[in-house]
Amino acid sequence: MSARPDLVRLSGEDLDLLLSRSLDGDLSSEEERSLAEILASDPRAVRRREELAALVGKLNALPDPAPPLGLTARTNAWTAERGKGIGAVWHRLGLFPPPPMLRGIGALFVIVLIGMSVLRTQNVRQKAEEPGAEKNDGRVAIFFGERGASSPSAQKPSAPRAPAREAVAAAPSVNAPLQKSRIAAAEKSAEKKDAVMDELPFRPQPPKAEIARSEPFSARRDAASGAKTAGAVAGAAAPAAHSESVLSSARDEMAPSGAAPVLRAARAPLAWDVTVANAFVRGWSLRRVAAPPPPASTPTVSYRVTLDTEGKVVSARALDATTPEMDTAVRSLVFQKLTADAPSEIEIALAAR
Amino acid sequence: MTARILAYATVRPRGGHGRIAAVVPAERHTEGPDEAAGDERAVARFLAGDVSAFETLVRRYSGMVFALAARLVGPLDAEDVVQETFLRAWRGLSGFRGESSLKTWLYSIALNRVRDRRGTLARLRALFDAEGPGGDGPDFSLVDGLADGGLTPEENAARAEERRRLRKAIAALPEEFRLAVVLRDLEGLSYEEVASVLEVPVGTVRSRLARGRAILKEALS
Repeated sequence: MSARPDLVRLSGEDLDLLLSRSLDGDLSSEEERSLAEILASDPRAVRRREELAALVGKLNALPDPAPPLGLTARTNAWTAERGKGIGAVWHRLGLFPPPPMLRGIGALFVIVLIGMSVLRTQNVRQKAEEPGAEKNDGRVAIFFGERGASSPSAQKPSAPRAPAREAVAAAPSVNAPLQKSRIAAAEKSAEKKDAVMDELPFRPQPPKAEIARSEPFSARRDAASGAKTAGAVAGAAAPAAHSESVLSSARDEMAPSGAAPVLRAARAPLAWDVTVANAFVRGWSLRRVAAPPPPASTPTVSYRVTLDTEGKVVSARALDATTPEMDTAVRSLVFQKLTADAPSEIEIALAAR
Repeated sequence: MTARILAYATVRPRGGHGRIAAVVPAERHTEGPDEAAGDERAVARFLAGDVSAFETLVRRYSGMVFALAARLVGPLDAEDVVQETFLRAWRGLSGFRGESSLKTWLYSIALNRVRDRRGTLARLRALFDAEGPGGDGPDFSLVDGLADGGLTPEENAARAEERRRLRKAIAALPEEFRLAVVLRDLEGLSYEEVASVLEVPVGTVRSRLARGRAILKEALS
């Protein structure tokens, strides 16, 4: 039993804490007074205090490891050297971004660049894979007529008619005189109808190609006149360079059959955009068209065609709904091989203007 | 000032060049109000673009940082810690808000560098199955074995042995207690400064210090 029952008896840890703080001068005056009372009444506490004081004395007496010679100079040089470069540039601007932040910004920049390039590649690929997508590469516009009012190209003057007639006249054929007269008649008829047709609104008509082929020319002319539709003279209005191939194709068809499909009862498109799919555009380009233009039953038709070594269409398989006339027209296309390893099977799209 | 003559010589295991033996007086660094104002001026000058101001700070605190690093990772690695510490300080001085003194801020950086380095060393030791971290700690035999002319050879030897045991006991302390003891009893920081460096409350520093001292006392008795 303690001689001073009013004193609180501290545990070993609490006593150590009090003694430790006492040695560091961290006690308040009240705590100092309490400790003095404890030390006066507890010889064990006195002994602990002496041992602790000796230990702290030894710790304080431990020699400091002195820095090696030249440490300051080496540190200054090393720091200045490592602090240069990009970091030094920032420092001159008064900015001190930590290196992890700079690394993070750099990584973010790289990620954004990669992301942009990936997205761009995907967009290009998606556009290439879209069947009706407009492609800039490999697209060839073929003009078949002039009667549309909507197309600016169709509003060009009909000056090329004379060259067209010359082209037909110059074409070597056994039925040349007959063809010449038929074309002249057809032109005359077309000129008569021009005035009428310009006044009429456009009304799409069913194709009359079969009629045109089976009936005599006069009947066809009458039928065409009776229908009062926008018939076009094939090759009579060829404003563009491609018209030459179209006229040639018309001649080619007229020569063997002896029946010139001059008048088009149906509304023929002003032009067809023949597009070689992007994947094949480096291998093939359109060379010429050997068949007359079909009427536009659908705005866009895709085909998968097989070509021989000369670029002629061996087989054509429509990927969309189409007409036999369109099939014939596609089979008449002739392509030109651009590279030696061009694939024999390509995909093309025909879009009516 | 406590004047001590110390001998310190080490040979780097790599690099091929040894350090020249240094005999220098060591003194405990205490920061006064003039010094704090000088630090502020140097920091302001450095942030304004005067690089030489940083050299002033290095000159003032490199020895202190070296002593702390040497106690924690040994003299061989201490210089690397010093250089890394001041490089971090160079890069991060703009973020120094002055909430603590520059001295305690540098101690914090050095302590983090020490922890990083010790983690790396521990991983290397584990990798090569070498001596673990619970060994004798840094080798201070050259420092502790320096003879005092006023003592007999036997007394010098006994004192050197006592210091070796003390350092070994410090090295065997758990990390939290060891840091408190080193910063308070060896580096001479106040409770508040130790709390600032360790980023713990002052009450925690008091209890860790008392517990660390008690463990040391038991280990040496």
